[in-house]
Amino acid sequence: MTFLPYEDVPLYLAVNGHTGEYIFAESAQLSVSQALSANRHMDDQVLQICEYGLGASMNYAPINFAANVDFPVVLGPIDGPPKPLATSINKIPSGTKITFPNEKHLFFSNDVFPNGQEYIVSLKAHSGGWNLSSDESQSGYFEPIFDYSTQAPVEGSLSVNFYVNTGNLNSFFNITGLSNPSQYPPIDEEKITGHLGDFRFSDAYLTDFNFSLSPNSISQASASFKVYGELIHDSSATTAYFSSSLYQQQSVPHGKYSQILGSQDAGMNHPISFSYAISVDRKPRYSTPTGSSFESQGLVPDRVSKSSTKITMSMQGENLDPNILINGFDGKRANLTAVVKDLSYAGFEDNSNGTLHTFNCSGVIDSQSLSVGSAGYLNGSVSVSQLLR
Amino acid sequence: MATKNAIQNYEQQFYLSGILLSGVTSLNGGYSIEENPINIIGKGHTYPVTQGPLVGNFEISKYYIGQEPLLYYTGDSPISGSINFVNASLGKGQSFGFNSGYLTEYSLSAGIGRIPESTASIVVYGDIGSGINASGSQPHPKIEIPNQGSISLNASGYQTNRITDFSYSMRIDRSPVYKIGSPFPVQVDRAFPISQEATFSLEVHDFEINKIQEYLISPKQQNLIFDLQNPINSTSIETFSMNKARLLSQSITSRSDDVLTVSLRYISYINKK
Repeated sequence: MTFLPYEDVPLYLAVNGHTGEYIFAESAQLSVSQALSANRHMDDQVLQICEYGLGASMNYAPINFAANVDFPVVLGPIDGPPKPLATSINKIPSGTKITFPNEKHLFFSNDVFPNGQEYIVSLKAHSGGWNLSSDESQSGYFEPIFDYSTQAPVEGSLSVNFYVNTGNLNSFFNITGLSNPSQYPPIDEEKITGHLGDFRFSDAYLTDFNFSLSPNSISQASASFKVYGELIHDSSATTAYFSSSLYQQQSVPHGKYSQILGSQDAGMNHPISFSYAISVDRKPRYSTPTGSSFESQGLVPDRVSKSSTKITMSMQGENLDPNILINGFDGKRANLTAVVKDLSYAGFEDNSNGTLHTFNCSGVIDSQSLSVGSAGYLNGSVSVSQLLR
Repeated sequence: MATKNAIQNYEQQFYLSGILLSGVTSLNGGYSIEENPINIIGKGHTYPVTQGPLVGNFEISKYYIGQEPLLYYTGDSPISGSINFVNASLGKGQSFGFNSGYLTEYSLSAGIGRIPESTASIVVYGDIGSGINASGSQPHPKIEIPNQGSISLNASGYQTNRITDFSYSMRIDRSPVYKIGSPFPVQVDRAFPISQEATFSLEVHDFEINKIQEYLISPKQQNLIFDLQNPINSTSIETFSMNKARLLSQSITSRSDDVLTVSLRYISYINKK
C-alpha cells in the first residue's frame, strides 16, 4: 500500500439499510481509541528472596555468587511463606536487572511470565565473590512489563468537514432528522455505516453538527460521529467508485448573502460572525456476554439512545442588548434564524440556488460579552441556547 | 471599411467626485478577484469560489498645480472618480470609474527646477468598472504653481545647508467592516494613527550625521512645516505639518560627479483626537 492522495479517498455515508451518498467534504478523520490501564499492585516491583535453592529449608542463608552462573531462588519474605510474583506483571524479560541496596545487582536468567502460582525463578550475577545480607535480600527492585485491562468500551470517532448542499440536510447529518418519516416517537436512533477510502466502518452515531458564517467567506460545516462497530480494510470499497455523477453538489454556503434574522432583538444590526451548533448526548447500551470471552457480544452496543439535545447559536456584532436581566429569573428570550445561501449567481451553473437551508434557535440568551482591542472595534457577542429534548 | 481606433491621451478626462481634475499625468485603476478552489476528498477540484471582499484600486499621478482636491478626502468621506472619453469608433462617450473609494495614500514631491508632483492611492470598496461616471460641474481650485522659491520648510538645524528636494507622504489605512449578508462594507473608518513621512536631501555645508548610538540618549525630534505658496502673490496654497516628527534614517551619498549630499527621513503620527 502506498500513500493515497486525497482525491482517491472518498467518504461515503449511509443510514443503515438505506442507500447513502458520497460526501462533498474537504477533510475527514476516523480514529478509534480504547481506555486501558495497568493493573498495578502495591509491591509488584519488589523482589524478595526467601531462600537460595528449591525450597527445601525456608531458611535464608547467604551464598557467595559466582559470575554468570544461574541459581534458583524461592521468592518471598524471610521465614516464608513463599510468594509468587504479582499477576499485574505480563512479562519479565530475560536479563532484567534487580537492584538491591548498596549497589548490588542480580539478573533474571530467563523470561518470566507470572501466573500467580510459580514462586521459584532463576537468577544470576554478572560478577562473583559477593553476597546479599538477609536485609538486603528483601529489597530487590526491578522494572517489569505490566499487564493492561480495558476501562471502557472500544470507541471510535469520525469527524468530517463538509459543505452543506441544497435541499434537505441528509438525515445522517441531521440530529433531529428521521430516516423513516412515519417513525413514532419521532426520534431516530438508526446507526450509520460507510467507508473512508478502503476502510469500512459501521455502528456510527451522529453527536455534533455545527457551522459558522462570516462575511465574504464560504461556510464549512462539520459533523462528529461516535463509532462503535468494526473497522475493516476492504480494498474493494473504492474500486471504480469514481464517476462524474457521484458529486452533483454545485453550491456551497457563503457569507456574502446569507442572513441572520432576529439579531436586532439581541441588540445587533450588523452581525459580523455567526456560529451554529447542535449536539446530542448518546448513551450506548451493552449486553453482558453469556458465552466465551472471545465472543463479540458485549463489544458493540445493542442500542445507542439519544438524550439531551441542545442547539447553540452565537454571533458577534457592533452592540449588545444590555438588559439581559430584564426578565428576572426566566432569562431573556431570543429567536435567531440563519438563512444560509450560496453566492446566488444569475445565469451561471454553479452556486445559483440562492437559499440552501434555514436553521432556527428559539431559546434564551445565556451569555453576552463586550470586547475591544487596539486596531479593532468594540464588539458585542451573544450566545443563545435552546434545549430541544 | 471600419478601422480599429485608439483613444488618444488628449481625448481622456479624469473626474474626481464631479471635479474635472487638471494636471493629471497618469491613471491606473482596476481590480483583481481572489478565488479559492473547492477541493474535496475523493474527487479533487470542483469549482472556485470567492473568498474575500471585492476590492478595487486606483492610482493617480499629477502635477501639484494648486490647492489639491484629493486632500478633501483625507477624512471618512468616500470619493468617486472616472476616466471619461469619447469612443469615436462607437460614436459615444464612455467611462471607466469607481464609487465608494477612499484615499489611502497621498504623497507630494518637490525639487529645484521642477513642478511639484503628487500621487494618490485610492482603495475602492464600492463598484469599479465601465459605465460608472463621476463627471460633474464642481469647480476646480484655481491654478497656482509653486516653484522652488515659493516652497519653504520650517525645520531647525538645516539653515546653513541647501535643501535640494523633499517629499511628503501621508498614509491613511482604511478599516472596512463587513457584515454577514452584504457584499459591501457597512462602515469604513480611518485606521488611526495616520502616518506621515517626510524625506529630504540637502547639500552639505556644515551638517553632520549623528552617530547611531546617540539615538539611545537623545532621539531627534522636531516639528516640520512644509509651506507651498503662490510665487506671484506669496499667499499660502497648502501647508503640511508634522508634529513631533522623529528623525529615523540618515544617509550620506558621495559621487564622483556631484557634491556631497545627505538624505533624511522623518516619521510622525496623527491621532483621531
